Amino acid sequence: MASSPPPPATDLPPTLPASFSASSSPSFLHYLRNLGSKAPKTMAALYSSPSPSTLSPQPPGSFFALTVLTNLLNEIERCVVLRMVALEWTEDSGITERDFNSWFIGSKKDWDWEKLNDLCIISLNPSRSSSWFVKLRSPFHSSLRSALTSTQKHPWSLLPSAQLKPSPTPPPTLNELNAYTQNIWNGILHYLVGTKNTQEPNPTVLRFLRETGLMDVDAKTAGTKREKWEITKKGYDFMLKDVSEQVWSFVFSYLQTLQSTSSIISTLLLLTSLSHCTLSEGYPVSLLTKSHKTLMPKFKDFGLIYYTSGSPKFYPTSIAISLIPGSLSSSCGHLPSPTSVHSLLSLPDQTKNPTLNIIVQTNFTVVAYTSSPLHLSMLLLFCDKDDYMVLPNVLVMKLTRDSVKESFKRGIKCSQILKFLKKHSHPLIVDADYRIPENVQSQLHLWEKEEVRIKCSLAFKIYFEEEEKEVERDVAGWAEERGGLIFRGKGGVVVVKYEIAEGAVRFKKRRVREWREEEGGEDDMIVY
Amino acid sequence: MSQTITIVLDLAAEAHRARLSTVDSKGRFKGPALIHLHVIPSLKVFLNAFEAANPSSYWSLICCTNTKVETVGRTGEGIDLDAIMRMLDDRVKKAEVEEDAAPTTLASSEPKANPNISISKGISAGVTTAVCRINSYLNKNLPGGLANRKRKHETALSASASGADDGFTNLHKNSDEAKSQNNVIESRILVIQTGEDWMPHYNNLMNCAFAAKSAGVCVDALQLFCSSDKNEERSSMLSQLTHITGGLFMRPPTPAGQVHGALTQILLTVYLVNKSSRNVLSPVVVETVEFKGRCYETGNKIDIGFVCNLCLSVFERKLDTCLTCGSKV
Repeated sequence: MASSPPPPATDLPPTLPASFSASSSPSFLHYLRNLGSKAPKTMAALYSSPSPSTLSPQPPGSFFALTVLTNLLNEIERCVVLRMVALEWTEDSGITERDFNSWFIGSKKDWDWEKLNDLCIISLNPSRSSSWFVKLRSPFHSSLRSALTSTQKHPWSLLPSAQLKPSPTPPPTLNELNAYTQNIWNGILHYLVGTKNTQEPNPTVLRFLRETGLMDVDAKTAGTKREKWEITKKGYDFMLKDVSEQVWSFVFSYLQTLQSTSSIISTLLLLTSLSHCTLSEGYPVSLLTKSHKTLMPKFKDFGLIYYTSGSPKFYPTSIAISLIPGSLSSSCGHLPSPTSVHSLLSLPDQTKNPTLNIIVQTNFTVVAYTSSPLHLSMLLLFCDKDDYMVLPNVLVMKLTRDSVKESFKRGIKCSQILKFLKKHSHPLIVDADYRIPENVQSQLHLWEKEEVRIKCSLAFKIYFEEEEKEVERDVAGWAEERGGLIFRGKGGVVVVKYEIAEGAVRFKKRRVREWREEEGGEDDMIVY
Repeated sequence: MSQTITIVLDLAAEAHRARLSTVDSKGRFKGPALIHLHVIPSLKVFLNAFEAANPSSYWSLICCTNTKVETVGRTGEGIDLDAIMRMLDDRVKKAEVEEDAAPTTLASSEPKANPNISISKGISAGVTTAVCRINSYLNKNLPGGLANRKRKHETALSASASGADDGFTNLHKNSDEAKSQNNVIESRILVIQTGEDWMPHYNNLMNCAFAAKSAGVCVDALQLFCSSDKNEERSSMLSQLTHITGGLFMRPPTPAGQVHGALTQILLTVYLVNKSSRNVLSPVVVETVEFKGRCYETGNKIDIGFVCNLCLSVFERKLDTCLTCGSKV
């Protein structure tokens, strides 16, 4: 990033840079920067969103400001913004250019003016001299001050059970919450892969799978009564992603469908508030706003919230809390204790949570410790379907040339397969130098390169007479300058790309005419 | 990279400072800062900002008086105000016994002549506790544990012996192993001293400094004014402590610069930046280090002295026999 600041705020363009389009990677930052012309009002409304009741003394806007600070800024930007939080200014004052530059040693390469302006965090104003001054925008400033001076870490008060009506069901345990989320997502992925006897997901999820191109109508059954939907290349890519990325894709596609600013604000505030919750804690439904209550069924479909009808409390799941990571909540804010580190390194217990732990051997055997049929389906995307063993808690499969090439035809890349295998490495080999043996990695790359060894492109052949060697040389040079020369043979043949063929022929005609005029000969060229 | 910070807060001189607090004509404080009114609220904001700036972080707060060291807060549990008030009351009562029941309210009565109540005798114990806890935490949580740290320590020692850069700063961060595992823990200690130096603990504090340095822990220090007199002496011990470990030492410019949000501003501006980012973001502090030592005989601060050529003890007068090792000088 350039060290010099952009022009003052009044001259900044109203739209975002073209590189950030709706089709780019759906991260939280990209979504906020893609709000376009609605961004300033939306961001201001998000930051200054008031507290819905006296029982929630911390306004949700302050949690949103904290989320933006913690997740979307790098370390240097966070420190500089927090330095500025403690300061007060009048309307026409701020930190001068000289003082701001003195804060940095060397170039300000870690400071992104555009990003901070897009997120409505800072404002850059011209001063009376020819320089500028910078300060925090007041909605962000006041909400961040509120967050830092507050002792309340939760977006909703943890009301004692005596103040709530009795719940029809007992509160879920941590394992039950994890199993609940896992079941929802396993069901979705099973349906995506086409596992037999899988229950169809609810209509919200179905619509998402179809609208985002993860599933498409089978060409054979299109238009008939027995129309079938099957997974696409995008769907295979989706299956190999991390659960958090998958959930965010769902949420992002839902956000794209929202038209009104108020519904966008409401959804974003609920998402950021959920990320500040503590796992396995129940929060009163009565403290939610009306708009948040209407969002509850959709978030339940995505596995973000657990609640039963009639229950006075809802429980955020681990997916909801880690969807926008980095909150101050105690569940994910601090370093692991010695005992939890030990438990992370111990062998997984399959009876509690179906986890996937993979060991890849040098003889291309994949040993997967899992008992989930979904994991079997995922591994069969690139392992041999005809030669594998299913034991009570272990799958033994093989990576073969045919199975891997079959996966390439489906649109899966070598990097995705390696990333998937590395991500699910067994804890015992997590600290090893190579989680996947070098020979296996190299062979997968070689198999992938076989797909691109031959590259076909449409070309045009131009023939030259024996005496037209000079013209041939000039035409070849002309084509090379434009990056369109493919081949130049000895027998008076020049092969160029089809896109520039017309221009090459015209150039040849002109050169031949000039050459013949120089030679004093007749104009008897052949036109192709 | 994960960050940990341990704050060592000195309560020893609170009674003395409470007696010397002044207010202006509008009833506002003019300094020095009081623990429960100014320092603790500023620390709360600072700790919230620290957690916001470092998503994967851990903090703990250790309070020390002249006779006691106690952990009064940590991540996830908040600050235990009751424990701090108990320690303050305990300290005030001991100060009363020392001074025959002097008043402890914010009266404008003159302070008693006993200098002991303005001296921070518990700082070295607090810093020792902090270094030991960090060392034990790092041994348990870094990959490979104690064996790995010992191996890295030996590598760093051999590197420094061969004339390379100071290997201690590379202990945690710059090894390929640490980078690839991406779970490096950077530790800091922030010492907040509210009284004057106690020279008899000079050796203890220097030992803490070298232990912290070998553990790769950076020690920052903030010295608060003990009275309304802005010509109070700077702490040479703290400046040397921070210089050895590569930390920052600062004193607010005036006693009034500790109250009404000024202390919060100092903490957020100077001490929020992590060690690894201080080569990018300037900490905005220029403090010179006072390299005065301590006489091993009298305990006085000296800048010129006589050194034993065997054990390197420093004395302010020439001796025939070294008092530390007994050798003939």
